[in-house]
Amino acid sequence: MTETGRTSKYRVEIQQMMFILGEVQDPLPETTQLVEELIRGQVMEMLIQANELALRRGSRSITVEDLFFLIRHDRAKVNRLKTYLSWKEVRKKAKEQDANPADTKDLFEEVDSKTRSMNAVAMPWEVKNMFTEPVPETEEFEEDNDTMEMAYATRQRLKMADERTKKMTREEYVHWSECRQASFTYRKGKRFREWCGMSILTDTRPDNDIVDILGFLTFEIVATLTEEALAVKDRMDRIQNSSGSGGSHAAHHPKNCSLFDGLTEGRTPLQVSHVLEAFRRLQIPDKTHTAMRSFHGGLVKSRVYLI
Amino acid sequence: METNFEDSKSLDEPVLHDIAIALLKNDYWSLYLSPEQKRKYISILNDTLLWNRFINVIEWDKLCDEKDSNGSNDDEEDDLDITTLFRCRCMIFDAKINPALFDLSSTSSGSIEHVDHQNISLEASLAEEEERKKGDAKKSEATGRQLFDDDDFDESDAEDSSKATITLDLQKDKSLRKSIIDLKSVDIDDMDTSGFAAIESNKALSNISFNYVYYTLENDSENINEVKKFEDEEDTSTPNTSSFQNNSSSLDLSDNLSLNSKFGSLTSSFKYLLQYLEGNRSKINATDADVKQLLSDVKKNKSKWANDQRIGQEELYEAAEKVVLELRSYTEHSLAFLTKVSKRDAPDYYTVIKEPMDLGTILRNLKNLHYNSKKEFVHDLMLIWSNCFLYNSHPDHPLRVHAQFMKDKSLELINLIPDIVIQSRKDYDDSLIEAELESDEESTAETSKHVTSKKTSSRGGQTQQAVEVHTDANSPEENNTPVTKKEVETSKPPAVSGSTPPVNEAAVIESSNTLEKEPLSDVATEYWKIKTKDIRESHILNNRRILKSLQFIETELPMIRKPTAMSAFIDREVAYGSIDCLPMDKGDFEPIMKLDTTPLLEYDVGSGVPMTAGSVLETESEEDLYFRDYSLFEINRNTPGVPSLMYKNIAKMQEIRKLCNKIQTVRQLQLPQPFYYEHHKSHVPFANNEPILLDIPQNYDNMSSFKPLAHDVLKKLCTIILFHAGFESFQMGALDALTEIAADYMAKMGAVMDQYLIYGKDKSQQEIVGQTLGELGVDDVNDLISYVYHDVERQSVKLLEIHQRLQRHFVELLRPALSERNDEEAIFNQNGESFVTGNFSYETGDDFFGLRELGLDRELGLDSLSVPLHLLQSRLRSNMSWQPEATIKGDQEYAPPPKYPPITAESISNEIGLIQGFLKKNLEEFGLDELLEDEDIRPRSKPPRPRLPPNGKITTGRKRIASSVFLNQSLRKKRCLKENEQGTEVTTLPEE
Repeated sequence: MTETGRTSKYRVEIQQMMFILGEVQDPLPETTQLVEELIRGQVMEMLIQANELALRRGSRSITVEDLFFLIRHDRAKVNRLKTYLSWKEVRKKAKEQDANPADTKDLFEEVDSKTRSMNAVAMPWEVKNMFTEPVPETEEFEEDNDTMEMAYATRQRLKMADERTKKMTREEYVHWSECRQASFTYRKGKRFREWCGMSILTDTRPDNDIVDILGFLTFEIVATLTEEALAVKDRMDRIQNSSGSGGSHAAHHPKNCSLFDGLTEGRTPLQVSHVLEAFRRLQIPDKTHTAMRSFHGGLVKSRVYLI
Repeated sequence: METNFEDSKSLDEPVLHDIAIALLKNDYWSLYLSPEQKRKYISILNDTLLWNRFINVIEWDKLCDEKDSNGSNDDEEDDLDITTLFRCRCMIFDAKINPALFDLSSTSSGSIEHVDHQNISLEASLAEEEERKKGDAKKSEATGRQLFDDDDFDESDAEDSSKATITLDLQKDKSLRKSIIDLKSVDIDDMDTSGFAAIESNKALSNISFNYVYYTLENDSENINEVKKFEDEEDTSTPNTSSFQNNSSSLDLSDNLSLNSKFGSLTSSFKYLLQYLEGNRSKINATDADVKQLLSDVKKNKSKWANDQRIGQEELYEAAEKVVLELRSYTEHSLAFLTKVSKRDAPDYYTVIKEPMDLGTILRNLKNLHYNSKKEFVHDLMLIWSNCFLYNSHPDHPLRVHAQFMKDKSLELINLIPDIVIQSRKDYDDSLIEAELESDEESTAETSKHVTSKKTSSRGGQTQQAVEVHTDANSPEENNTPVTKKEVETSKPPAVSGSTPPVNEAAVIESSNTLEKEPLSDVATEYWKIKTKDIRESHILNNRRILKSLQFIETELPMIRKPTAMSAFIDREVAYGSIDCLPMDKGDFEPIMKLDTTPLLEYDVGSGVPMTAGSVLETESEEDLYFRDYSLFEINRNTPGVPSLMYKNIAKMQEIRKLCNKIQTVRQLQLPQPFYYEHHKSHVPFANNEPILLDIPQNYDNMSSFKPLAHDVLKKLCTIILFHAGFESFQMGALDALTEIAADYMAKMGAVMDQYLIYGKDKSQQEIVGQTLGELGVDDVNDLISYVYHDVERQSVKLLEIHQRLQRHFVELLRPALSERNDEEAIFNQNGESFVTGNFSYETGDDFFGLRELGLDRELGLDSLSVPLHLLQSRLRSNMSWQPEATIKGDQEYAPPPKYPPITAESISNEIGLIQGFLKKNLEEFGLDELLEDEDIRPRSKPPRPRLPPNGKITTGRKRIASSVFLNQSLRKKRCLKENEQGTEVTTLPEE
C-alpha cells in the first residue's frame, strides 16, 4: 500500500475531503495514501464497466447514461448526481453571464429551468421513459419522492457540517470552506485522466463532462469510505473503552506517536486498519449475487463492488 | 350376415335354434315381431324342415316362392312373410352377435304349450291394458269395449288366414313399429298409450344392458320440448281426470264426456283456472253447463274468428293471421309488400302481373273469410313473392333480396298453420258418421292412430301446435280420452274442438308417412334413449343455459376436469374394452359383465368435452383424494395483493401505449412524408384479462404431479412481472429462462429455510424467515416493503400522471385552436391566431379572405370558414386529399368517373408498348402488386412555408431520397401518358 515509488497525486484533496467528512484536519498520510489507492481502483473499475456498457450498446464512447447506470442501485446517489449536473450547468451559465454582467438577476430563473432540464436525463428504467412518446413536462410533476430521498442524505451531511463549523473561528472556517471546494477534477482534468489511466481503459477519450462526473463520483466514494471508516473506528473505540480504558489506549495510539504530531481536535485520526476494515465491509459480496450458488459450492468470484 | 350364415349351416344351427327359442321365451320377440309374426315364427321353430330352410336360405325370392306354395296365396301374405322372415332372422342374429343385449339366462328347450300360454297371457294383459285405459275414460262403456276387444282377439287368434285379420295384423305391425318410434322419441309413459306391444317391449327392454355403445346428444334437443310439454300436461292431467270423476256422478253420460273432452282441449290454456274450479266445485253452486259457458267465454281462441257454422275456421284463421302479422313486422324487408303496387310506381306492373297480391290484401281476405283451407292461404302468400321475382327479373334487383328473405320466412312460418280445410256444419256432420265407422275398427287394435287422433283433437284449441302432432311424442294424460273421444263425436258433436275429423285424417296419413320414413333403429339405442331421457334433458338444458349466458361466462364457475371423473372414465374405457370378447360357444348367454354404472357416464368426460358441474356421479379412488384438498385461487385484477396492482399498472400502461400510438398517428398525418395508409398500425400484444388459475394443494404428498402446474403458474407470474417492467413483448425463450431462474431461486430459498428450520428450532418463525431472506440477498424485510411501495404503488401513481398528461397533450394536438373567444381583445391576445385562420373575419362579418365571395362556404358546406390551425401548419395540400372529403361528397352532382384500373403485372401488356418495359421496371423496383395512382399516394409536398434555419442562411432546398423522387416522377409520367393515350405519344416529362 505504501509504495514509495508511487507518488500521491491527490493527497491534499483527499485530506481536505476527509476533513470535510468528519476526519481530523490532518489525516495520517498512510491513510490518505491508502484511500487514494482504493478510490483509484474504484474509478478504474468504474471506467472499465462503463466502457463495457458502452460497447454493449454498440458505442465506443462512454455517455452520462452509462455512469448513471453504474450507480443505479443507489437512488440517493443518482439524485445527487443529477443535482450536481444541474448545478454544473448553472455554473457554466453563470460563467457566461460573468462575461457580460448585465443580467445577473436572471440567474436564479436560469437555475430553476436548468435543474428541470437536467432532470430530463433519460433514465431508461424510469416510468416516463417507458413509452414511445416523450411525456410533456408540467410543473406539478416534479415534486417527487426521489428528490426527497436525496435530500435526506444530503441534509444529514449538511447537518453534520453545521455541527462541526459551529464553534470554528473565522480562520478555521475559511480553511473549512476552502476544503469544501476540493475536487478531483476541477481545473485538474488532465491530472485526473492520468491518475486513473483513462486513456488505457477507454477506447475513445471521454469528454470533460464524463470526467467531471467521475470526479464527483470519486468524491462520493471518498465520502462513503470515510464515513464507513469513521463508523468502524467509533465502534472499535467503544469496544476498547468498554473492555478496559487504560491499557487499550496504548494499542490504539502507536508508541511512536510524538508530542509534535499535529492538532487532532481532541480526536485521533483514522488508522489504516480502520480504512481497510471499512473497505472490507463495503466489499462484502452481496448475498444477492451468491444466493443462486447456495448449494452448488465453488468459489464465488465477484468483481470489485462499486461503492 | 351371409358369411355368418354359411358358417352356421353345419355348426350353429342348433345353437341358433336354442337362441331363437330363448328369445321367444324371454319375450324379446316383442321387440321385433308382431303377434301375428310371432305365430309364424313359432311355426318355423316347430317345423325342422321349415327351420332349416329358413336358416339356410340364400335367395329371398326363392324362399318367398316356397312360402307361397306352402300356405298362403295372396300378395299381402307374401309381403308379410318377407318381413316376418327378415325380422326373425334379424332377431336371431342380433341375439347371436350381441348376447349382452339379451339376457337369455333361462334357456330351455322351447315348448309350444309354453309359448302358447304366453301368447294367451299376452292377450290377457292386452285386454287388461285396454280395460285400464278405458276405465280411466269411461266406465260404463269399458266393459263393452273389453268384450269387443276380447272377441276381436279371439277371432284373430282363431282365423289366421282370414283377410280381415291380415289387415288387422298389418295394423298391428304398424302399431308395433309405431311403438318403437314412440320409444325413440323417448317418453317413458308412452308405453301405456302405444299399447300392449310397447308394454311388452318395455318389459323386455328392461332386461337389456345398453352400455356397450357410445351415444351422443345430437337428437336430444327434441326431447326438451317433449319433456317440457310432458311436465306441463302432467299438471293439467290431474284436474282433468278429477273433473271427469266428479262430473260423472252428477251428469248424464254424453254431457259428461263432452265436458271431459272439452276440458281436455281447454286444459292447456286454462289449467290453473280449471284446477281451481274443480277444487272448489262444491263451494260454487254451478252446473257443468255454467262452467262450460264460463270457460268458453273466457277462452281466448274464441276471439273473432270463431264461427259455429264453419268448422276449423278459428284455428286456421288464427294461425294465418299470426303469420301475416309476423311477416309484416319484418319492416326492413316487408315494406314493399305491404300494400298494392301502385300504377304510378310501376306503370307496366299490371301488364306483367296478372294476379297481384300483397300482405294487406291477404289480411283483407282473411277478414272477409275468403280462405277455406291452408292451401288457399299459402297460395296467396307465395303469390306475393313469386310476383316479385317475376316482375323484378333482374338478378341484382334489390327487391329480390327482400322477397327471398320474406319467402324463406313465410315458408318457415306456414309450418305453424294447421292443415285445416274449413268445412261447413253439414259436411262435418257427415264426416262424423264415417269417423264412427272407422273408429270401431281402429279402436280394436290400432293404438297409435288413437293416440294421434285424440291428440289432435285435444290440441284443437292450440292451432299452432296442431301440426306437430306426428312428430311429438304422445303424452300420457291424453290417454284418458283416446277411445272415448270418437264415440263422443258420434253421439254429440263437441262444440269446441270441431276440427277433429279432417285433422285426424291428415294426422293419420302423416303418421303413417313417418312410419315409413323412420328407419327402425337399434333396440338398445331405443332403450337407452328412454332410460336416459331425463338426464339428457337436464344436460342439454344446462348446456343451453351456459351457452346462452356466454357473455357472462366469466362469472360462471369454470368447468374443471376433476381427476376423480377422469379416472372413472378410464375405468369405464377398460370395461368397454373387455366387453366385446364374449365367449360365443356357450349354450347359455349370460352377459359377462353388467355395467352397473349410470347410463350417462359418457357424458361426463367423453370426447374431450369438459364436464358440466353437478351432473357426475363421482366415484373417488383413493389416490385421488389429495386432489380434493386443492383450493382454487384466481389471480386477476380483483384479487388483493401485489399481482392485482401489477395488473392495474399493466392496464394503465396499455392505455398509455394506445395513446402514444394515437399521438404518433396524428403526428404522422401532419408530416409531409408520403406514406400509405397501412403504414401505421398499432398493436397491443398483451391481453391482461386472462386470469391466473392457481391450484394450491393443502396436502403435499405427491409433489411430482404438482410440478408442471406450479411451473406454469410461475411462468405466468414472470410474465406479469415482465410486462410490468415495461416490456411490450418478449421471446418465449427469455421467459422460460426467467422462469427457470425464479424457480431455482425459490427452490434455494426453500432449501435454506429448511436448513434453518432443522438447526434453529429454538428461533421464532420470523427470525428464520428473516435469516433466510438475508441469506438470499434480501437484507431487510423493509426492502420488500419498499419494493412494493416504490416499484408497484408509486408506479401506478406515476402512470396515472403520465396518462393524464399525454391525454392533455393529445387533445391539444388534435385541436390546437380550440378556445374561441368573441371579444376582440381576446382575439388579439391570442397572438393573432384568429387572423391567420380567418376566424376573426367570420366573427366580425367581414369576408376577410374573400372565401364567401367565392361561394366556398356554400360549396364546401361549412358553417364556419375558419381554417383549422393544424391544417395551416401542416400542409393544407396533403390533408385536403382526404379530410374534407366527407363534406364534399354529399354535394357532388354527378357520380365521379370510374377510376382507372390499377396497373398490375397482368395488365401491363394492355398498355402502350413503349412504356411497358418502364412500368415493369417500376413494378419490380417498388415490389408492389400494383402501381399506385398519384391520387392514392400522399404527395411529398414541398416545405410548406419558407423556414429559416437558425443560422439565418437560406439553403438550396432539401435533399431528396432518390427512390421516392423517382417513384413520384415515374408515376407522373405514367399518368401523363395515360391521359394522352388517344393522341400522339407524349414523351415530354411535365415539370414537377
